[in-house]
Order: sequence, then C-alpha cells, then structure tokens
Amino acid sequence: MSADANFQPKIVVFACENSGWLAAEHAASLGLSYPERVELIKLPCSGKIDVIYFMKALEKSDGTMIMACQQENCKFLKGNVRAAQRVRQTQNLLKEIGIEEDRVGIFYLAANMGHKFVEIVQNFYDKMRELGPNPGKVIK
Amino acid sequence: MENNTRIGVFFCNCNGKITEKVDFEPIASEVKKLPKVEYVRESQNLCAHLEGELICKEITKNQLNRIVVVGCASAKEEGFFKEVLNKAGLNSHLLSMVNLREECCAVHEKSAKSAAKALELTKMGIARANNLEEVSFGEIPVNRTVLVIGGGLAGLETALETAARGFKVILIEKEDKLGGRLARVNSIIGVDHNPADLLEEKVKAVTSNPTIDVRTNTKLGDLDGNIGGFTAWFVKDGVETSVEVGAIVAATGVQTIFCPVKYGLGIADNVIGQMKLERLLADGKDFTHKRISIVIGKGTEAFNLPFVIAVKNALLLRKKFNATVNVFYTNIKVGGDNWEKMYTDARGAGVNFFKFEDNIEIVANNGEIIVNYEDPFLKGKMPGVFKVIADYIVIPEELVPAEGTDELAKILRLELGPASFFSVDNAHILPEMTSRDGIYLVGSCQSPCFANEVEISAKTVAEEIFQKLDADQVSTELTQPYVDATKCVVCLTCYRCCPHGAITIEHGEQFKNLYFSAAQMNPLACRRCGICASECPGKAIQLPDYTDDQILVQLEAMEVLP
Amino acid sequence: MIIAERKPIDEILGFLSKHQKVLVLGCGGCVTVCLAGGEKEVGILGSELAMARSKEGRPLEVVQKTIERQCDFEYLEGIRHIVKDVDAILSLACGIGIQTCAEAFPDKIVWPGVNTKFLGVNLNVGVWAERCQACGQCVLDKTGGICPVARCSKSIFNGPCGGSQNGKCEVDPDTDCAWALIHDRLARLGEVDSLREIMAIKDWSFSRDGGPRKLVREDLELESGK
Repeated sequence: MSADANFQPKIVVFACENSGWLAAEHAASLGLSYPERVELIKLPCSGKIDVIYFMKALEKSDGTMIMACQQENCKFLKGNVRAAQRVRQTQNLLKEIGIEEDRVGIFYLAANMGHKFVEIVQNFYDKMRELGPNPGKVIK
Repeated sequence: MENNTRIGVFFCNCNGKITEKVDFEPIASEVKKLPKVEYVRESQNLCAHLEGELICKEITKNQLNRIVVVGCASAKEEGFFKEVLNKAGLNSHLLSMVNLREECCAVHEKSAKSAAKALELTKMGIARANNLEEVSFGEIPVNRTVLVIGGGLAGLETALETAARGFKVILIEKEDKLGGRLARVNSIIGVDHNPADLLEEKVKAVTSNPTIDVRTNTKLGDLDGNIGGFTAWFVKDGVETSVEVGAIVAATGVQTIFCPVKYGLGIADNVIGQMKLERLLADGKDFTHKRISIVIGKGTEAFNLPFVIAVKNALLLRKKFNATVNVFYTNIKVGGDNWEKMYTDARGAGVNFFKFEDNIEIVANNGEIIVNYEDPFLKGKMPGVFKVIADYIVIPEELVPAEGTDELAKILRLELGPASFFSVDNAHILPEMTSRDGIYLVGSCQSPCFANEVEISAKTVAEEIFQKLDADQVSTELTQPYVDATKCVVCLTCYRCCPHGAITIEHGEQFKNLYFSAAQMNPLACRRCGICASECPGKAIQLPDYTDDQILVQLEAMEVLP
Repeated sequence: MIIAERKPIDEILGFLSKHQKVLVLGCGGCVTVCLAGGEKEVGILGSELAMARSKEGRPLEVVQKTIERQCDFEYLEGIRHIVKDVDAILSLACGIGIQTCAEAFPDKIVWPGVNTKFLGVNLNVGVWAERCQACGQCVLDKTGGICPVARCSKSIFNGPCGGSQNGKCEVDPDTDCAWALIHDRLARLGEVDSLREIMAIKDWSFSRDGGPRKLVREDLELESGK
C-alpha cells in the first residue's frame, strides 16, 4: 500500500539486446513516453541475467525485471528459459525475507514491439507504486 | 585493468536533439569531478569524419585509454567510434556508449527528473568504461575435412559440392552400398532425369573423385570437439577408428512406415504404399485400364511430400496407362513450384478427386478394394454412400526420421524437433543450420523434402562451410567467455547448460587448480550468449563486455532514494 | 560428492541477529559443485541478508570470501586477517569445513549456513540423489554396484522386504526398491544366482556405531608424525 501519493518507484530493466533493448529504441522512434525513473541495462541474451544482478538492483531500487525474447524464440535457444528460472529463484529469496515477489519479473516481447515495451514498463511501474517503496533497499 | 585508467567523455548533441530536452552543463560539471575522468568535451555532431579525426588527436594528447560517448548507442555509430579508437591505437572494446537520445530525450519531457536520469545514465556509462578490458583477435588452426553422414542423394550431393570447393570429404554410409532411397523410386518431381540414371551419375562422380573417401558399412560411434576440430569415431565391423574433421553434415534421410491396419486393411498384393507403387512402376508393371484408388491426408498432413507424390503418380497412372484413378483426400497441399499445375493437369486428364472429412471406410472384398464414400458437399442433395471399386489401393505411409536418428542426435549433441526430425536453429534463416556451428543438415533428415531442394541445400551448406573454414587458420575475435581456472571446479554445469555444445573440459599444466583441468569455450562454436557465465557456481566464467564487474558497477553508480 | 543445502533464511537470520558485521565464507569444494555454497551463492546470500536486515532497520555489514576448501587448515590461515575484523563467521561449507573453520578460529563464533544432507551423485543440473552412507565396509561387490545400505530405506541385506511393490519402495512411490534394482542388475550381468548366498548381518561398528572414526596411514605420514 503506497502511503505517499507522490511516491515514484525506481525500476531497473535488464534488457536482452535482441528483444527489450531494441523494443526500447523502437518505442523512442515512435515518440512514445514512459516514467522517468526507469533505467535500462543491456545484456547479450536474457540468459545472462544472474540472481545477483536482480538482488543488487533491488538493493538500490523498488522493482526490477528482465525483458526476454518470446518463449521458444530465443536466439540462443535456452536463454529465456534459464532467465525464467532465475526470476523464480529470486522470487523465492524475496518471499523468504518478506519482500513482495512481484518486485521481480520476466516479460517477453520482440524487437519491433515498441508499444508493448511501454505497456510492460508502465504496468510494472504502476504495480510498484501500489506496493510502495522497497523495504529491502540498502541505504548506506 | 590498469591503475592509470584515463577516461575521456564526449558529449554529442546529435544536431540539437539532445539539448532540446537535456542540458549538458550540469552533467559535464558533475562528471569532471569523478575520479579517472581526464577529459570532457561537447560536440554538435560527434559521428562526423572531422570529429573522428579530432577525437584521435585528443586521445593521443591526453593519453586517454577509455572513451565514453554520451549521446546515442546505436549499432551504426558504435561501428564508427570503434574505428576511431582503432585509429588512435586503442582496442575497440574500450568504448562505452550512453544512450541519452533514445532512453531520455525521445521518451521524456524536459524536467528535473529527466535531467537526473541523464546524469545517472552518464555516471553508469563512465563506471562501466572504468571496468572495460581489451579483447584481441586470435588465429585458430582448423581442420578442413568435411564428414558427410549418409550416402543417399543428399549425402552424395553434399560430398560433391564440398569437394568442389576444395575440401577433403569423408562420406560414411551404414549400408553396404550408396544410393539410399533414390534407387527405389520411379520418378522425381521437378527433375527430368530417370532416378536410376541420376543415381548412377552421382555415385560415379563421388567414387571417382580422389578427394572423397567413401566408407560403406560404417556408422558414427562417438564425437568430440567443435567446429574446426572434431574427433569422430567410426565403427565398421565392430572396429573403431578415429578421424579428425572440421565440419559435419548429417544427411541421414527419412524412412517410410507402411501400416495398412490403420485403414482397416490387411497385407495383400493390391494394398500398397507410395514407395511400393514407385517400385512397381520402375519395374515396369502394367496398370493399363486398371482401377486405382489413392488415399492421401488422414494423419500424414504434416508434410507436403505425400500429397505431391500422390498427385504425381495419379497423373502418371492416368496418362501412361489410361487407368481409372480416384484420389480420396482430406486436403490437397500443392504450394510449391509447378505443383498446382500438376494438380490441374491431373484433373484435366480425368483423375477423380474426392474429398473426405474424417472417416473413410475401405473394405477388401474378393480381390477388389471397395471404398465406401460419402461426399461431404453433396450430402444434402444426394445422400447415401457411394461404392467406389478398385483393383489397387494406394495408402499413404508415415514419414519418420531414418532409423538411428535418435542415437545420432545424442552423439552429435543435437536436439530433435517436430515429429522427431533434427531440430533446426532457425526455420526462416538457413534451415540447414543446427544449434551447433559446424554441424549441418541436408535433405530429409530435417524434414521430408524434394530432390531439387536437396541440391540447393547441399550447395548452401558447402558455401557455409567454406565461409567458416576458409583457410587453415581462421581469424576470430576472442569475445567468447573466458575461464579463471583457479575458480573452476569442473562441475560440468556450464558444459550441460550450453545450448550450442561449445564447451569442453580441457586438461593441462596451464590450468592452475587442483584438477589441472578447466572448462573452455570454443571461440568458433561459441555464440556469446553468456548462459554459462551466469550458471557458473564458482563465478569462474566471464563474458567480455558483459562481465559481472561491468554490470554490477552500473548498479553501484545508481543513487538510492527511500 | 557431499551434497548440502542452504539453511532456511529465518534460521540464519536468527543466528546473526546479535551481529553487525559478519563474514560469509564460501568453499570451492563440494558445496560449489552442488550449487549451495560457492562464490556465487555467497554473493546472493550476502545480498539477501543485507536486504533482510535493512528491512528490519538494523543494517548488517557483510564481508564475502570464498576459499579453495574449508577442510584444510592452510587455506583457512589465509583469511585470518579478515576474520579478526568481523563479529562472526557464517560458513557455507559442509559440516566438515564448518568444524575445521571453528577449530582454526576458536575465538570466533562460526555459524553453519547449510545443512549437510548426504553423499550423492549429480544426476543432472539441479538434481542430486543419495548413493553412499560411508558405512565403512563396502558390499558393492556382492550387489552388482548398487548399495543396499544407502539406497534401501531399511538398509537391509538379503532383501527385498514385503513392502516392495512393482520395483518401488513402500516409503515413497518415487523411490526405487534397491533390492529390485540389485536383482535386475545381477540378472543382466548373469550373476543372479549369487543372491542365493546369504549375506552376513552388517557389523555396524565400522560405521558410526563404533564411535567417531579415524584413519591413519603410517606409511604416508610426514616424519613429524603430524
């Protein structure tokens, strides 16, 4: 529950360079817009996502996700399957320590889906607004 | 990573697009305070030729060894800047690009928030640049012998095409003679050549070619290694021999399973499949004025081949023997070169086509075959079952991969795809490629195909191998993951997870760990997906340009707000 | 291979509740191979603990280190300088490593971060199954290479018992009856008649029932008798 109506969640999006990263460029070329506090980090394949990347991202932000190619359409065959496993692993870890598992997720899209990119990011952003600030953030 | 890292940050306004939404001054002043940042400059349009020359000079003058371009991050511009770095004597991987244009300016309004984001993205790019490492090129010695598995039309064509490009070829065939199924058919669609003659031609060409080593009664027993360096073990008469090869082509084909019981019929001389029909026609059997019923569809809809062959033979029987030909079909799949015409010709010649939906009742009675047929279109107007009597019935066989395909797939470490045929890497682009570079598929072993398609595939694969193994030493950029042997526990996790079979466990004194052994990624076979790097439980594997440090340091550069 | 599994996080957080700075110590041996306590798991657990404590409002400083093995004192010596600066050590090694670590640093609390579960085989990525219980008197020569101590739920000799149904153990429908496996294996090797010989009752004194075991190879000992 968001106590502060002005709360603007910070989202870290890990984007596979064959899907999410290009979809973000496509969204830009279409002139679409999405919330500012969303930052992208490029990966060569969604299979490169590591649980530690999600954990470190959540130490700094309110939500994180991996964007991957559509199921059964991974250029490297198994990347998005491994990525889904890592998301599940991270969700189990979050659940253990009482943090909402919805703060991490995997979303599938193709390189030419600029609208889908914005839809995914906006929906996730709204969801994080509902959940409120991430209680696990490590503020040094 | 040297201790004297000197970072140069270059802002590009992209001809005004950036400063429309984001000001450079506040970012530049923050960036100048960062440690290791030695030089900062703005430009209206950085990817211009003159700017490139200026950057070269600035790199040399300020002894910069990491470059950050803040503006866009598109692939084309990346190529331009990599060349600039090369000209200045820097490794092209020491470049980091920050995409303000697409990630900030195109999608946000001018505001304090977007300015904060632009600053953070720039800091992330600089943090990443600080951790970038050089990547060099390597000369990999490769073996240039091609192994072709299967001595049917596909195997023969592939052997000839690869030999024509100068490769030494070893062709292995598990039976005692070459030819495969080509020896058993009467005619080939799209090829105006008698199959027996065509076969003789191809076999002669292969056996008389001094660079093609034909080994019959030989199977592949085991396989090790990767493209350019496979070790294959052959088994002949129980004896194993090993051979070094550079590329492998699977051309093991397809087999037909004839099962009349599925149609409610038993074994009889006049209950035959298309293969038997081909055999009878080739042997010169006389069908003059006979009545022949042909069934197509019903469980064999996955492939075009049965449909087209049935139409081909229907037309042939009608034209050559003036036979009464009735074709019972669920669908006519004739989407290919001249196939529609063949179907129209068949109709024109008087072949009868009867559509049925799900069920067709066939009864053998006293040497005759009766099809009890109900027309789904005429049901309303002319109800009732029609008896169509014939002397022969041709029912479709099931098409399955050749015997031993399962085993071969395990040896080659390839997955099987739909209907248990070999799985291709990408159905649209180059269907001859598998998930493992250096192993290719020609012919029906991937999906039942036609003789003219086989020719094209063989040429494609020969070309592909020629491109990949164009000399005794192949130059490649060593961007594949590297392994820190001191952390590798040889647990086999990466070996099992690699979708391309590009990882092997190597042994030697150079691996400074308890096992004198470590996983190694083959630079030619590896596709740089990074799955191995993220699976490794010992954090021994890193993928250049996407190392853990390079990614985590971007997260560290982010600010935390409550 | 020794197979271990990380302890439930609540248990670990309970151990560390009084500390402000801990060393999460990984091991490059069996626990790396069974994906429980290698460098990767150390990083993930460290982050998880930091986040959990941050959520409680009581920050925890985590130092991370993974050494080749925790069951050799020489490797533990190498981290003495790190150990002196932390409140406690959370060891992700197997029980052997944790105890060796505790012996090497008797003045520092060493918490166990994993449960050491069994000695087993890696069937595939993420799947391990028990194969050996270190009973001290191997009988695999008589049972075609299948262990009746580790793989039979009752550890009986001369099985199967009456609960064996369709090759499965009555304890769990997914567990094979070891004696069914043994019979099939010996039949395949043409040795099934050897089952007619009654195996002697197991002498458990070779296992832990005889007290903690020790093995000394006098012909290999260093001269100092260490």
